[in-house]
Amino acid sequence: MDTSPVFLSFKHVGCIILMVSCLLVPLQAQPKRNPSIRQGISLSSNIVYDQVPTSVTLVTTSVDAVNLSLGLRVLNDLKDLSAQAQYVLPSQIPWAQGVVSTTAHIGWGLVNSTLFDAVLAYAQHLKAGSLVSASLSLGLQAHGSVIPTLDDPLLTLLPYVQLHLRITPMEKLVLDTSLSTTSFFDFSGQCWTPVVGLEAAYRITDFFSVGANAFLRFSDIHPETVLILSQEVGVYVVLQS
Amino acid sequence: MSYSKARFGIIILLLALLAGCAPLDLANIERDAPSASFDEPVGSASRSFSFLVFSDLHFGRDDSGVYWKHEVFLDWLDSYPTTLAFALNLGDMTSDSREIEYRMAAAFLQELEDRGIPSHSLVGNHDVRDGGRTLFRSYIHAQTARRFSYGGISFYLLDSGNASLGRTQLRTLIDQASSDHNPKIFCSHIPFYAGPDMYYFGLSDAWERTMLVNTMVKAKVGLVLSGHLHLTEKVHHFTEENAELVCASFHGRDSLFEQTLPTWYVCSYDHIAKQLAVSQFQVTKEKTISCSVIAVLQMPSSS
Repeated sequence: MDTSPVFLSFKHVGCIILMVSCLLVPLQAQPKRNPSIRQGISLSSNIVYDQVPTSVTLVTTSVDAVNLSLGLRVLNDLKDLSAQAQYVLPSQIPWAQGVVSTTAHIGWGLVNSTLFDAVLAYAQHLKAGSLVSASLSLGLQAHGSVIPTLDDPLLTLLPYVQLHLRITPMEKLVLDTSLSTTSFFDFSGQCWTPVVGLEAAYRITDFFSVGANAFLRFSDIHPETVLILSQEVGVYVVLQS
Repeated sequence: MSYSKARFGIIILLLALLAGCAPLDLANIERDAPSASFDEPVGSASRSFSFLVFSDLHFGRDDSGVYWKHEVFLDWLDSYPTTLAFALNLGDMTSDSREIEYRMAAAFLQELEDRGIPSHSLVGNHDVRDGGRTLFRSYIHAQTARRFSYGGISFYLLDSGNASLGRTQLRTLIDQASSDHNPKIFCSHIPFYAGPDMYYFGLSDAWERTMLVNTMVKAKVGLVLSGHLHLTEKVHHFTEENAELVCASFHGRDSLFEQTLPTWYVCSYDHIAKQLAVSQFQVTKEKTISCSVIAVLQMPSSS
């Protein structure tokens, strides 16, 4: 049970900020195109659980040049709520696009504690025809662990990096691979815990897609001997209006 | 969509995946760190005592400006007026887990043993590369993680060589620490937290750290001793009775990126006041030894 008033305040304020920034704003702005909902099921392992079923729900929409995503992951007792806003900067070059993104994450469910993360990043996207696109994101991540038994939260400021490659070998098939310091739901209190991700999506109709994804998060980088801190393999469906 | 275009795309994707895995040595990926039972018997008779602490010996390190002052240290040890019950070696005794480095570390620890100071050693990230744990078991101790007690305090030696304890060790540690009624000191090469500026040198997983720190508070763990940082020591107070001390390195280095003096510590436990005083000793550039008390920490009472 959550008992500490300070802890409860942090948790509720965090939830309210996420709700306001990620739900109310797009609703009031009346999204004009491409809202979609993605429901996935995965098999996950992490520092606490070994091979447990996981539900992942992701809602995305666009408002003018802003792409919004809101996701919930339920991994047994662990819950993760993430919200992301991406602002596509105007560009004169057709093959290069700058994107500013902000991501907020809240995770809870163990020892009455809550993890907060916020990422501010700039991504440079590059396209090579319709086949290949790549991006490099650089930014800052602020992390907070609110543990009710401690006098103060544990705060850390760390660099954020993401390399992303997307291939479209067939018209309806998209393959993604990425290397990052975080995933959409998996954040660390330290940098150099790389997440390697792989994803394949196939568009069956304009309104329905299916896909599979997997990621691994490691405890350190070469030349150290590393552990797999978390891993996830899953499938999903996407409904698009 | 032509077949050749699809094949080209998949080849590019595979190349990207390989590039993505480049920061990792695929042969050095482990599923879970070696387990530990932490079920060694612990005594509860309380008394005051002092013990020696050092970290990051790094035998074999050949980077520019690296030096050791073992003779100065051993001379200091021979003339130190207080009995030191044991020495805690907080890991990274080697540079690259080579056998010759383990032999040098074992010889150094034997010097302490010859002076009546038994040592308890941890593995660090530099000690577990390429199967380094096997050499640790051969030259240093049969177990990379374990516990012992002295003067009514239980010392838990953690295997954090992978920047994580791993699921199995974490679970066992929490269970055993929770049922051990002594006040405790955790020893981990990798710091748990140590402050907001520690963006790399701490434990990797935030939930793991949360569970460990929560266990510290609930299971009377007054202090976690760690190393890994080299540059300086850091003290962080989680609560009034729960703190973390990150120790500076035992070897010195005079280079552009790292300027450190050979450093070690003496911790003196007062079992009446339940206080642990930490004194820092450093070999200065003038080859004298400086001494200063850097912290007096309140330890929890036994239940």
